[in-house]
Amino acid sequence: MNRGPLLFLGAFFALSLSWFGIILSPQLQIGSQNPSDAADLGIRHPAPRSGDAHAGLQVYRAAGCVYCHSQQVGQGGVIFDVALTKAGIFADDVANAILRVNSDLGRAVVSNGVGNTNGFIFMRDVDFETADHAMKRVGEVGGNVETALIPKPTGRDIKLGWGARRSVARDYLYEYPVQLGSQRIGPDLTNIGNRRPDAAWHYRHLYAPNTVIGGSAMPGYRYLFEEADKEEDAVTVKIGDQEHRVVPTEKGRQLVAYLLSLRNGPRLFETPMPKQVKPQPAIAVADPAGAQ
Amino acid sequence: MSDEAKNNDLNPAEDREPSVSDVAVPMWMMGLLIVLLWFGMLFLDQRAGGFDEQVYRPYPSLAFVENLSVTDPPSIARGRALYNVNCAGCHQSNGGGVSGQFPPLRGSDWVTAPKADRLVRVAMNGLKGPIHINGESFNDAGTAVMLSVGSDNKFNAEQMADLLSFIRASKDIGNSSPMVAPDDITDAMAAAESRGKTPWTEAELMAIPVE
Repeated sequence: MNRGPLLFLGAFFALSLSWFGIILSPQLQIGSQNPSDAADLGIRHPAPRSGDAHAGLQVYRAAGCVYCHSQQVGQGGVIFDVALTKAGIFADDVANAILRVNSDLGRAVVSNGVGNTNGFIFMRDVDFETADHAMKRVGEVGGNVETALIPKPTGRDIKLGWGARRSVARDYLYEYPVQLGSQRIGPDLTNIGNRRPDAAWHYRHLYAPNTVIGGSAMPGYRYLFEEADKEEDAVTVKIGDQEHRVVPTEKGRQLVAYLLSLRNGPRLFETPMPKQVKPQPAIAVADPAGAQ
Repeated sequence: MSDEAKNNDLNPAEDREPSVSDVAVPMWMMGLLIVLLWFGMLFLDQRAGGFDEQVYRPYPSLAFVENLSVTDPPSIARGRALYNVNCAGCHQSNGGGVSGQFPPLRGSDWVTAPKADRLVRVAMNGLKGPIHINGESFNDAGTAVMLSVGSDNKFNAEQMADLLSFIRASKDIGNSSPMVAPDDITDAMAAAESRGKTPWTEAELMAIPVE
């Protein structure tokens, strides 16, 4: 140990370097994020959870859902549509320019589309270079012609319907602890509130997964239910020949409220999407009779 | 103890303090490390979007994302949602009001004044008594009261700014006055804090400069 100070300095710098890299720089980068305006939809995202849904996160944790389900949507890439939003005064020249950049379209379709004031998508599912080139060619015509680029997220997760766009840091503002998950033995749950908006479905699924999803590997969570003589949220589950009429306990209700609050949010600044993508209507009412 | 001492005597190498001699890092390894570091920096520089918090894969830069994003200023969009819930019931969704009952917001000299100081106070505390708008008098009997929209911390300053910006500067209402910043709200509220939460009257508000 004749180089004690040197060893100390070496260890000190190695540890502080990782602290700077793993703790400090992410904090500086995304530590001050706020809920955002969801662009043109006039709502805030993410919305804080309240009541049952907030408590449900702890039930989700305790039940170990995170060991088989992730909550992060990946995005492989982005493809673009190109739309004509305003034909301007040289409509015929614009139609010719569109036919030159996309000869697959018929002349009748194009001249019809140029006359349509609500926007005419003349190119679909192309990469940025192609879209940019097409916009420049059409823009060259002049006369107040206007085109718009419509970005569409793509990727395996999005194709599976797990979300409309990738997850970003802002989506997790009210998650503590964040249940990102690393295993996908079951599907991703980022958007489960939109995909399965029916609380009764969730109750049946949690009680006996196989009865609603054939061949499901998920275990039943029957301790979240009781056989009480109550009407509220009661569901009837048919296992084999037996019919079970069960009522969720408080924890079961909280977990389902949490699941229904999981929504792959609307468009944010950092995740451009087509304007038409709107969030689904609010949580559906549970089916009181539990009828399938 | 004496046994151990004996063993150590037999093997004196274990008794010594370890020491480091001068061994230099080979030059080829230094070169390799420098090349790897250079490559890593190039890689990050090309793909990290300038380390901006709002740039995610596959977008290359903030300018690219901005280009794809919506153009409507965000506070107008948020204000629209607040207006439709809190104001449109009386003032109507186009801000036209109802003649003789609910004052109009469109083109009103109270709304479109250069500074929003009076408007902020009305929205935060409400208004009572007769009032004159563009020369037309409303509420001559003095019985009707405009309820407070923003007191009791229902909205924060930013939301109030969104709402009032929508009223002052959106196409929906048809006004084109300057937007309201959250700081304008907090300043006006701090100045009027001693008044408590009683609704304003026209005479009181006229004393506040808006030019």
